[in-house]
This record gives sequence, structure tokens and C-alpha cells, in this order.
Amino acid sequence: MLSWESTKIGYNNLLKSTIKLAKKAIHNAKIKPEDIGLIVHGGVYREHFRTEPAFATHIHGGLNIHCTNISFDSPTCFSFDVTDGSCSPHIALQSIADLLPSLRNKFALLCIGDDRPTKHCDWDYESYCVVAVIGVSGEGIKLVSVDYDNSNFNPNFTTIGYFDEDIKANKFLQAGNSKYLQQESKNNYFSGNSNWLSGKHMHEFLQKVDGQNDTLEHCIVDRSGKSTTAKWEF
Amino acid sequence: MGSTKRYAEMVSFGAYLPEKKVTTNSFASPSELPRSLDFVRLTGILAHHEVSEEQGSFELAIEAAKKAISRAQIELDSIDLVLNASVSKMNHELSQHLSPSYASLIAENLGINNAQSFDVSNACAGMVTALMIAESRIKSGQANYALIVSGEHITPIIDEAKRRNLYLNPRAIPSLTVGDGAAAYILGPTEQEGRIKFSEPFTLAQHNLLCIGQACKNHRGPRMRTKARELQNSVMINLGTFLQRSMNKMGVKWEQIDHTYAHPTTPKAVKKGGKIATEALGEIKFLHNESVETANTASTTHGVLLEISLENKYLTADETVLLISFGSGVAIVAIHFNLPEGVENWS
Repeated sequence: MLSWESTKIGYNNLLKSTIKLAKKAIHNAKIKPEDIGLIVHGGVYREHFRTEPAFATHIHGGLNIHCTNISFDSPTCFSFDVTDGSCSPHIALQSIADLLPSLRNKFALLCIGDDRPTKHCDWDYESYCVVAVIGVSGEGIKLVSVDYDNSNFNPNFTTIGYFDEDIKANKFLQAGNSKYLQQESKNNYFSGNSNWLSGKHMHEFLQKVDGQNDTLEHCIVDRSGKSTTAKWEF
Repeated sequence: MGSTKRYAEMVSFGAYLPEKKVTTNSFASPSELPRSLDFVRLTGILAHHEVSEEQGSFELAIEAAKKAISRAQIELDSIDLVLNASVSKMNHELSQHLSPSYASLIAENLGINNAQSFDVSNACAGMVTALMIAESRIKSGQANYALIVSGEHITPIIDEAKRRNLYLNPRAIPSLTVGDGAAAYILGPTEQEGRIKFSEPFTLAQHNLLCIGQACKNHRGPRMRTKARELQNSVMINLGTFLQRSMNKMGVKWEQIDHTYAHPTTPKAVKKGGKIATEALGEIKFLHNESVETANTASTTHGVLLEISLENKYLTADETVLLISFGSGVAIVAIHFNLPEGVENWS
């Protein structure tokens, strides 16, 4: 991870914030926007429960990266989204690690965050927008591995978007009363609250990075009980 | 596999179409469309399939996954990666699943307990994007067998389009070209190089507002708005160069590809794309354009067409297949693979 930026956002300005942070992160990584070959967004909630196109394509267009027709030697950039509840940041990181080495451009944008879907949705989350520049090599902190653990997974703890006939508007509903795990921080280990959204998980983790000089394990537990642990090396 | 190199291959695939078939003329006759459009003549779509009252994206995905797993003849425990790529994730009451990943629920339902599972979202190019991720995981040894699955319950956008008065909403007319369906693939390891190859993946993000799918703001269910002509043009003007670059990158000879499948927005569009491809690279050995009775089933289209080819006994083990994928955004990516052993005997 060559550079990163994060900020708390309002209800629904994720795209604008992501583009702004991406420009800063790209500048701080001492690369140019056209060096980016992959954009992966991770999150759960989109405005009006949008399903297509991928949110990453809106970031891509907003940054105007290789927005030209294909020629025989034109550079390429590819964008898509991944999601798995609050574990989405780790899934997005893994997907970048999977695909970036085989692409022509060796830098990627990791983008994390959620929008409040409609004004009718109860929203007591703190929304954060996080953008990081990832390279296949460099001086930054190094992602060593991402492990997953399904042993506490409860398939009944789901979240769905639905139309509320009484108020004639879209809302979301969380099924099951999951026990929220509290934040836990030790020397080389950090785990957030399982009620946080993806952006907050990544934002709080990044606050722990300064001052680390060995390894740091970052665990995310989703409200469904699924968890992922990313191991970073300094 | 010791110190030998590790690659990935297509082990099996399967598709499922719900039983109910609806003819295009039953809901889009010229008298119902602006300027008395002959929708069948315009698109080449005669019919599509629709879910039963109890089915949604999930139930469709499970049917396709079961078929692919049974054909792969592998133990469920050997599947350690499950990726879902459906755009719709919609149940029979038209609620949209958000969290955790649909893939987690699909894996749990199938009894695949030890797999990493997550969703990949890239509109109609979602399954090929997920196949890229799975191939990379298998090649690097992080996964052994991967299930890539998608169930698309998208026909509610037809009702929405009609309800919103097509005379006033021409961007809703492409919503009439869809059908429900599901597909699944199993990838696994091999020591043989080159059994799966990918093109360079492109997103032409200057066109990212040409097709938007989201929940209706004041009614239950989804809606889609499309600038159809611009969307088709954005693909067609890039198709020839994309294919030429892809053949170079993959090291594949165009004339040696046994079966070619393009994302069938409509059979008419596939025909048009086939003409462009022929002009750029020469004759296509076998362009499969058999979506006349399935329509556009979003991310699952290639799987659905492969299943039709299988039923028609067109496929033989080790023959080569090219899937060309397009998705809103606009994503363009292709996969080339060898058909699995025993494909002729699959039921």
C-alpha cells in the first residue's frame, strides 16, 4: 500500500469524496492517474440500491483514466466491485492482489465506503470513505495474507433492501439480533466493532499503522459472524 | 502436485432456466409500443423464461450450481472458493439481498462449509470477472476448486417498464429484452498450461451512465434505464480492435476457435457483432446465437448458451471456446478455454 486517504462523509456523497481522496492518494504515491490499471470498490450500500454498473466504474469515469476507445496500443484500466458485508475491504485487497500482477499497469486503487441508500433508511452508521493506492512492489506496508473464518457464520443474520408499502419508499432491514463484538487493540493486532461499516473498519485500521514497525494483523468480523484477517508487514 | 507448475482449467459448467416461457408478442406487441415498433423483428427475441412464484435469484443459482457440481464429479469439501456474480440478488417478493455475500448463503445451502465466499459485481461481465479472480487463485495455489455462480431474476424490470408508459420512457424499452436464468462454472487445478486464457480486461468508463439498474423510487422492485443505441455503439466501435488485441495477448488463432459466444443483448446485436469480428479477423467457425427463446439473462448469458449447445450436442471434449463479455460500465473482457473431458456425456 503506497498511500492512503480516508475521511468521514455525510449520508450520500461517497462518489464525490472517493474521487477527491483518490486524486490526493495518487499524488502522494508519486504516480499519475494513467498509471492506474485496476479499480476495485468494496462496500454494501449504494444510493437507491443501485446494482449496475459497478460503483468502481463511476470512480473510474470521475478520474478520467483511459476513458478512450481501444486502439492497438492504448493502455487499459479495469473496474469492478466486490462485497461481503463488513469484510469487503479485505476481499477488495485480495482481488487486487489476484489480478494486478497480470495487468499491464502495476498500480491499483482500493476504494471502500457506503452511501445511505435512501433518506427513509434509518442510518446511525458513521460512514467513512477510504482510498488507497496499491502497487505490486514499493516501499509501503505489505499485505502478506488474508485468511477467512466461517466457523461463527450465521446465515440468518442478513440485510435486505425492500419497499415499504406504508410509506411508499425503499428501506433496508437487518434480520437477526447478532451480538456485536467490541473493538480490540493490542500491540500487533487490531479488530474493530462488528457493527461498523467497511469504511470505518479500514479507516480505524489505518490510524494504527503509524508507529508500527513489524507486523500488524487486522481482523474484521461481520455481523453475520464471518471474519477475515489481513496480515500486514512493515 | 510437487514442484510442477500449477494452472487452472474448466472442470464443468451448468445452466438452469425456469420452466415458464413467455412469448415476446404477449407483452410487447406492436400495438403496445411507440411508433408501432415490431419488437420481435427489431431484436430477434421470440421469448424468455420467467421464475415461478416461489423462485428468486437464489433458487435459480442453486439449481445451476447443483448441475455444475454434479457434472464436475468432485466432493463438496474440495470446493474452497465460491463467487457469486448476479446483478439482481432479488427474491420472489422483489427484496434485494445486501449482506453478507449471496455467495455465503449459496455455499451454506449447498453444504460447502469451508470455502471463502464473496460477491463480484460487474453488471453482465460479472461472471467472467469472477472467473478471472478464481483462475488467479487456483494458479497461485490459494484455491483448489472454485464455484462461480449466478442466478438472475430480472424480469420484474419488464413489468416496471410497461407500467411507466413506454411512450414516455424510450430508455425503458431495452428492459423488454431480458429473461430469468442461472449459470455456474467449476474451475479446478491442472498441470497443463493454457487451458484457460483471458484477454486484457477493459472498462470504458466514459460510457458508465448508459445503463443504470436500481430500485424503483416509488414502487416495489427494480428498474433499468438504458441508452440502447449509444451502449451498443460503444461496444461495436471497439469490438474489432479488442478482438485483435485479445488474440495477440492470449496467443490464440482466430480460425482455430471452435465455438464463439458473445453476450447476447439481442440476437440481432450478436449478428451485427459477428459481422464486425469477421471483417477484423476472418470467418468465425461457429458463432452461437441461440438466445431467441432465452433473451438476455444478464451475467448468466454465456452459461445459458453453453447449456443450449450441450443440449444440441454441439460440444466435444477439448474443443476451444471463446466467451466475449460486455457489461454496463462499459466492461469488455473475454475468456478462452478448452472444454472439459466428458462434456459429451453430461446429462
